[in-house]
Amino acid sequence: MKIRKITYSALLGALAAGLSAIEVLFVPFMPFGAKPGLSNVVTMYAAKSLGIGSALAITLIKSLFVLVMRGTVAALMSLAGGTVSALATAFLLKNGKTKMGYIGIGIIGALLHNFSQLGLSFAIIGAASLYYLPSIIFFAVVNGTLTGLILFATIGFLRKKDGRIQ
Amino acid sequence: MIKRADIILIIVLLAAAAALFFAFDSSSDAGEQVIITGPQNEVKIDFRSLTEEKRIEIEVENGKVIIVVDSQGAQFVQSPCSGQQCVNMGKISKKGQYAVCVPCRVQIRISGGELDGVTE
Repeated sequence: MKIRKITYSALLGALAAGLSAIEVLFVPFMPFGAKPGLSNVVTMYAAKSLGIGSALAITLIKSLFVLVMRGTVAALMSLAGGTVSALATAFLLKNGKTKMGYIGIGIIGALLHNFSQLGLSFAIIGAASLYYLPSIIFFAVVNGTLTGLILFATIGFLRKKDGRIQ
Repeated sequence: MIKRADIILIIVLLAAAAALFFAFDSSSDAGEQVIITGPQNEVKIDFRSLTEEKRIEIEVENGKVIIVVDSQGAQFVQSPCSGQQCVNMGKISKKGQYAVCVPCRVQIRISGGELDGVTE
């Protein structure tokens, strides 16, 4: 079981890294350089099916990949956003009492992801980064809805394919 | 699949985004001075009186940031950053407007209508 979990996490880590590389291609077409956050689907899925440890490991793998591809600032942004949003979504997905559906959890994940990046950019450049706030909230809603829907579809599909995946 | 809490969350967040957007869109006040802040120094230009465009080049870690200022405003035209948010923000000309390149630590803003003034 342990080996299965490790290989599965590694596979998902590679998927997250690949998705984050593809996402960069969307940037020129999106206002304010927003990215769709597709790799968040992977961490959310990992948090749901493998647990918080795997989700954090995948976030770290992805950030290391970003470090090589796009430099220190981007990697720190990725790590800060990824860790906070992985913790929050893991908590919400594992908490049976939550009233949120996948869409709500996706939005909260995206929002916290963006807020921690905003916090970091506040530390680097100061109050001017607050200018991003309205667009950050707006895109968190749009992208969180998208990732939530993809997560819902993915979990349903994989559950049918492989009964062992929860 | 979509629960009531999700819908409430979406509505609250969209309302907050809209409110902040209008709060930051400080007014249609045309600004007078653009302040360009780089990693080392700060430049102030009274752009309304410019007769030809001015190119400001700032050396940063991975290359060069180029900002063009003319009588209509200021904008990033080139940056070595990966995201290119700064270039995509386009031209700024109204009081309190900002354009920022976080990776390069360069920001341009139009003086007047500071953020503190807006949030008071």
